Amino acid sequence: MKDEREPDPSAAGEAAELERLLIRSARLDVPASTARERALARGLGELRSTKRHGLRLLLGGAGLALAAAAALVLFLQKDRAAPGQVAAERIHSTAAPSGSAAGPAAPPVVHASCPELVIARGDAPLIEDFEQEDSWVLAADGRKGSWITYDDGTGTQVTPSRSALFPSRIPGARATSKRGLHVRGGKFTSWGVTFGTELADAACYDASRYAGIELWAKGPGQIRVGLQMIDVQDVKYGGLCQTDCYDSHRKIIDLTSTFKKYSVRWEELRQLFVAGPPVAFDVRRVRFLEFGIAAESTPFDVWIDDVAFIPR
Amino acid sequence: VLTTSVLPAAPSELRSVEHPRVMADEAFPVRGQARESRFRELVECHFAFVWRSVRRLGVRAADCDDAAQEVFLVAARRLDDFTLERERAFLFGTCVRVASTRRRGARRRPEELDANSDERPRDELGPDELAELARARPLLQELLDSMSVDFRAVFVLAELEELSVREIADVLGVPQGTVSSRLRVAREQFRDGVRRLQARAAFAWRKR
Repeated sequence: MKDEREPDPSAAGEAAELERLLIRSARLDVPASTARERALARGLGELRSTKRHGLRLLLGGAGLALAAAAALVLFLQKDRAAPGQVAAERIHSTAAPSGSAAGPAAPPVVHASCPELVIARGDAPLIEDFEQEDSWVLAADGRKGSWITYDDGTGTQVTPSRSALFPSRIPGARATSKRGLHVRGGKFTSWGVTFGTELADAACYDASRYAGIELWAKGPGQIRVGLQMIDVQDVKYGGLCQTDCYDSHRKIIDLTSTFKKYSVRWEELRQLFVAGPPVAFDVRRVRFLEFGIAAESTPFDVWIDDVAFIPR
Repeated sequence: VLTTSVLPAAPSELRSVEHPRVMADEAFPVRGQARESRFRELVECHFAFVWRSVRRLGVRAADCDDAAQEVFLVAARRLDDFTLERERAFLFGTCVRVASTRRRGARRRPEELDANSDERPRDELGPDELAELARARPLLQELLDSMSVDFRAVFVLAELEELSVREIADVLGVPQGTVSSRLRVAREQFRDGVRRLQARAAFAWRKR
């Protein structure tokens, strides 16, 4: 009599054949092309509804702005005097914030409106250490934004233009830092490449409690570190500039092949390409922290890390 | 107020093609466009993978379109939370969660593959092979459904998506050794299931 534990070659062969048939049957798992279109439409609807929700909030806030402005400013003054508090103030107002770019003691200057303003307290200087695997800046001192890159369209970046930027692992690390922001690309022939982040989403950010920007970076080439005020941004995108826009305030720094720490103080920032009337730099109404790579510095292969404000 | 630039004007071309800087969504449309562009690419590249995954993770064929949509809705909301390199891992992890929720809510009855099913054969299949595969597909689902989620995920990615151990480890975020050991167990479970199917078929044949 045959041992029941001994495998039956014919049964084993049939089992193997059945296994293959079952695996092959998974080839029937094919979605309808219309299913993809529906998923795309629904997802895009989700993205757009999020935007509309944000806009409604913005407009609603603007409607309450005048009534709330005086109380908020008073509240702000009280808060600034209180030590140990970390939350920044977000106000909707057409009034200028207290203090000035030169220091809190200077008289306030009234500008055209920022639709919304976030006033930093100055107690959380680190903007981004890139150790998280997302594109958001660290949520501290009222900051909110995500890293994004743009280019002039005449060349190619590893991360395509208008895409979010994510941290990359630094080969061999840098001291205790394992990740940084790595941007690479080929030759560009117009204005080049700009990457950076909003500081307070769509709002203006008052960084007057800080003295400048510092970062670690390595090259080769040069980068232009700067801040965009709402005044140099195109009105089409929520700015106040009508013509010759995006001449933001920057400083050119020369990079080296190894990581080096760079500091840029507010008083070092200049508009590099003044075309129309120059815009005086006011660190209380900035919206975008930018790093520019001019066409003459391309192709480019740049790392930045540990981007922070300089405490006063 | 600190400074007024005294630098000369730039060549006109440096100003004329200035970048459309953006910050937020409705008021700053380019950022929104970038997100939409990325989402379109995400759906374009991964929809079939997501649909297959939710199907193989136990979602009924008739519900797979909705489940895949649900996965991409989550992806749309969290578009800034995962890197390009981690897209497939994020989507598969979401597939696992969505499939788990839908399985719990599904009625417990055997699924039949019929002409109205959402499962669409590939064009290159002949009628005989198509019929054979159509009979086999519910059996495959039965075996997959008998596995726990961890083993099923590894088995699906290895045997049906034909990913390497390294790729599976990346998608699931577990060590390669874990993938190998889970795959070994999953294959044993699958073979046991095939033997059960054979035995059941033989029993049914003897009953005739």
